Amino acid sequence: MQADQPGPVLEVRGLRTVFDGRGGRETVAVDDASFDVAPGQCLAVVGESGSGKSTLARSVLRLVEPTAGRVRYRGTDLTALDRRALRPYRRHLQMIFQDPYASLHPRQSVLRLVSEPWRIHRDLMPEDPCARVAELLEQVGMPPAVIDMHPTQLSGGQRQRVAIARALGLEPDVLVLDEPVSALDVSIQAQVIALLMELQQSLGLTYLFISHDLALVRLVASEVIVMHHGVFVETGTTERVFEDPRDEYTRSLLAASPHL
Amino acid sequence: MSSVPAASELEVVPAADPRPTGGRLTVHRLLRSPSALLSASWLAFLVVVAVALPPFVETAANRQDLSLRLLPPFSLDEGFAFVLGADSLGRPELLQLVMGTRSSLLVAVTAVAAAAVVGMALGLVSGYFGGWVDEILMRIADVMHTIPSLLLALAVLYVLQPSVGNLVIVLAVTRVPVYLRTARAEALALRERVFVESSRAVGARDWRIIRTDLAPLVVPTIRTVAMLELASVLLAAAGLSFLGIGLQRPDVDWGMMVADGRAYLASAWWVTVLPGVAIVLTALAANLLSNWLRAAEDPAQAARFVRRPRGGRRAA
Amino acid sequence: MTTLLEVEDLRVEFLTDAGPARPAVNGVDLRLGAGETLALLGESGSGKSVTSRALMGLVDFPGVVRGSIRFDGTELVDAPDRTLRRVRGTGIGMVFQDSLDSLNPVYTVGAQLTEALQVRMGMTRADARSRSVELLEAVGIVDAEQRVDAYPHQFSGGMRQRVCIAMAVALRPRLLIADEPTTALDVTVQAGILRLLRGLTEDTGMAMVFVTHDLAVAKQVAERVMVMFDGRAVEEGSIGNVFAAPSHPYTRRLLSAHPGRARHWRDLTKGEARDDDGEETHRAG
Repeated sequence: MQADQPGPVLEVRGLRTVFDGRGGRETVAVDDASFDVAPGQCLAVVGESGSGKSTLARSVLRLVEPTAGRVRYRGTDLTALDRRALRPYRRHLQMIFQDPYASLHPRQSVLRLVSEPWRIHRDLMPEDPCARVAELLEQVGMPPAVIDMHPTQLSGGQRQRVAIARALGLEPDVLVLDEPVSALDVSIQAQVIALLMELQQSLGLTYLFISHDLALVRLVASEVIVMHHGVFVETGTTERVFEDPRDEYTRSLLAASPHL
Repeated sequence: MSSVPAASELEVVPAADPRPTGGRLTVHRLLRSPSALLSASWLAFLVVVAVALPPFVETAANRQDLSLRLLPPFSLDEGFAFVLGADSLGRPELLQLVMGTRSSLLVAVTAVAAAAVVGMALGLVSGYFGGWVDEILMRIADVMHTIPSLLLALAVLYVLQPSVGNLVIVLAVTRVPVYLRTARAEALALRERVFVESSRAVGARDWRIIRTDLAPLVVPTIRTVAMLELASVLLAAAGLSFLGIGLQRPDVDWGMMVADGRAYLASAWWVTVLPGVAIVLTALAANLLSNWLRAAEDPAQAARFVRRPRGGRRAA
Repeated sequence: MTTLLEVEDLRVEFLTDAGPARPAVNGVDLRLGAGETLALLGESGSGKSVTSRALMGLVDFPGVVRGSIRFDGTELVDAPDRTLRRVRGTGIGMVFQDSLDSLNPVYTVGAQLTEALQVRMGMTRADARSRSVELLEAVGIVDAEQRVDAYPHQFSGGMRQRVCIAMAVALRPRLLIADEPTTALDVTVQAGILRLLRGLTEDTGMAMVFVTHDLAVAKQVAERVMVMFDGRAVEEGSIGNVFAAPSHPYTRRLLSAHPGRARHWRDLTKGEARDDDGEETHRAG
């Protein structure tokens, strides 16, 4: 765990999320998660299905209500706010979802999808929404011609770019990327990763990168958290974790991932 | 930003696809389905008749002429208005049918529309929020389901004044649970979809999610159900008018015409049969169109609309 | 090596009522010897899955299959159902991506295995049952004696895929078609399944067509690879040669886009600049 530096963007302390299961059985999806994310950093959380990494991402954003613990965004305790007070903060922390086929409303045009968030955060509404949407589309490498298209007319990679444009429209500080490319073909995946990394550098974004793909994490993240059954089994710089894994589970994960 | 890889390098941005999709595909399929096309044409014809003709024929339709009492149909001797004969008071059957079309459609369409809008709104709220709201709404729907709707309508109209307004309200209220259940079931599934979570992540309130995310996706199902309901509401309205607690003269609808003619069934069949045929044809058309619409708009049933190529070469 | 499977000019298109169909498979030739393992590698829309379904005769109307698929001398395209039924199971076995979908939820896995063995292999009930236990043991299910009476949903995803493999190989097929069998699974589970498939082909001399989008997975199971793009086979050869020196620009791009090969994320898109022309020629076709 990294030492308390002056001004981390996100400070997560003792986060715990418990789901009520059938027959009163509780599932601890995330247990006692604590970490900091420094500005401009890309912190990766890796784990297999059921490790709790997605629930961790959603708990940080309070899309799932955490059972205990604190999430501070630039000093403000998000977990202490009620839902109304939380709403203005949502624009600073945006999320990119795994499946772009599911995360975009099928009946809305690209224009509507990208401009919809401004109807919620009215102070961000540009004077000419159309022009701003076209600008955002250009920023994610999409031609302006797609502005009137619907998600069904776009490929997976194009949809994910629209989802990124939608998030960027809110001028966020932190992007939580929940397996942002795992639903995409490998060649498209490469392009979307390149886009995300370019954007991080040019806009100074902070990334929380959720992934199961170790090879990919190694290329994008500066620090890695390995999750297993809801707990952090190993944390450290990417180089250290990959070169010198200390935990048994991390080692088995590295050994199992197929090499080219 | 110059080095951002463009989406178009590998994934070709589709040009306008000449192949029809969505609404255009539905029209495309309609033109190739005889039964659906016939049903749609019949309903469209009725709407035109109901909207365009009544102002011109209202006076002539209600003019009584006892010398023409129970005039047999299919003769042009008394003019085109009497081509379908006359009823027991010598009113031209054709013009009565035209007036009846307007009342029958007005009552059925208004009742269906009102029930659909209210039922869908309640269903969306019930399904999205769940909890005690859902419990209360569903219990009310259950209770309403156990009482036969015709019996309820009968009781209410017996107590209240039988009028067009009351008839519509009674028919609408008794049919609300149908839409409520449908919309609730869809909302239950839709609220778990990722795009709803995406809306929440950008800060949308619950009402906004119901309005902009859920409602547009529930409308097509509700529309299909409404089309099916049109047939049963039409029959229910006809039934109530037949029993004499629906519309009152000088208003007339098909059910009332059937009732009026029943005393003369043996001697003047046309007074009963013609409005009866109108009811049956319209209910049938609404049913056929509803079933067809459900299939045509379901991508999973696309194969049904493909014709096998000639020669019948079987696919392996 | 004797030729087990011979595909010539395979074309599959899906008819719609909304205009001309676009071919999903557009002239694929393929030859597989007995005991050989071929990886069918491609991204979504490349036609790899449709090809594998056509091999099993599983393309239904409105899909139309043309060309020739000869399995052990028997023509399968437009073959009567009787022929297809004979070939399926004892000739060709199949494993799908979604293991939950391919098992019947209302019967125990033992019941499903023994039924196939009784009906197709003419075994007695007792023989079929003990053979089922053997098969489950062979695919690495611990405590097979008890687990044979469990229902599909009582298995984890990886174990269920093992059950599917047991069912596919129960009738000792000479060819196994595996369509993305590990895509839905975690890497640690995937590694086990790949080892199992590899072992089965080596021990039984069964040939395998392994459909995948993952280059690293392809490398682990197959000795030969056929790269598909836009309904065509753009490159074919031994997996070592193809991955070391790809001749087609699309293969080059696939390889460079794989994060396992890159040192920096910028390397991922390096394969793209120079092969725009290759892209164009294939779109045009």
